[in-house]
Amino acid sequence: MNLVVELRRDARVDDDEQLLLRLNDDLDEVNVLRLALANAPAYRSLPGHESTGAVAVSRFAVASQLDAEIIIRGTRWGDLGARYGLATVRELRALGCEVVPTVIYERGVRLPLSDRHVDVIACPYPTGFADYAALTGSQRAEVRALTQDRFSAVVRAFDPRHQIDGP
Amino acid sequence: MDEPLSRVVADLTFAPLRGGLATVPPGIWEEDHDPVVGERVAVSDGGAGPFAAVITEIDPDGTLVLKVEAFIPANA
Repeated sequence: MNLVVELRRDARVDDDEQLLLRLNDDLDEVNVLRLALANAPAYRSLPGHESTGAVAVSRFAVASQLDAEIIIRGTRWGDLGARYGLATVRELRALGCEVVPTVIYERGVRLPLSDRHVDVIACPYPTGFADYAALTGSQRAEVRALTQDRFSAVVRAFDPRHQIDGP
Repeated sequence: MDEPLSRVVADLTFAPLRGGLATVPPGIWEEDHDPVVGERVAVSDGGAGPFAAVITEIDPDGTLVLKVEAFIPANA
């Protein structure tokens, strides 16, 4: 598998006031969900999700809006007038989400900002379906129909989005 | 009228590079035909793109290697 998700056992998300950053504006919610569904098997490594994996929204812990913008300027979007959203852990837990500190490896490489990375678990991957990559087009559409509303509610918890200025 | 480009869905924030080209993991190709080397595609994630790109290589595991050419306005 290309993506490996590990629980950051040395990290905790136990402050409801903690602020979380979501990169991007997520205007194409179907595409965002496709990515999350394709990555769902990697979340079988997390306790409670061993059987089907999970549909997760990736984000980063930040101290403030300024801290968020500093992070964004360190990515390839930083000079493109990037958009971003902020939400507190409390808001996400109010939606019934698990908030889990994780580190992500892609093809064996630890992704940048892993020491701040947190996953919001929107829902388990639906039971009764093979991994998303192995499904037919109609099966994929069925899985998306089962998960889109829930997933979109979590993504939109990071609204309104903000925009940083260009260079 | 030009045919619409095949859509490649990829998380573009940390897309790994290989020799300066973006690599896209397999598993999210949703066109009716298999991707082919030389095919021109539109690559996007949830908010960035679409970007016109050409598939320059396909790994045995389905990973696509893309040469990104240009930004395509969303209403194109």
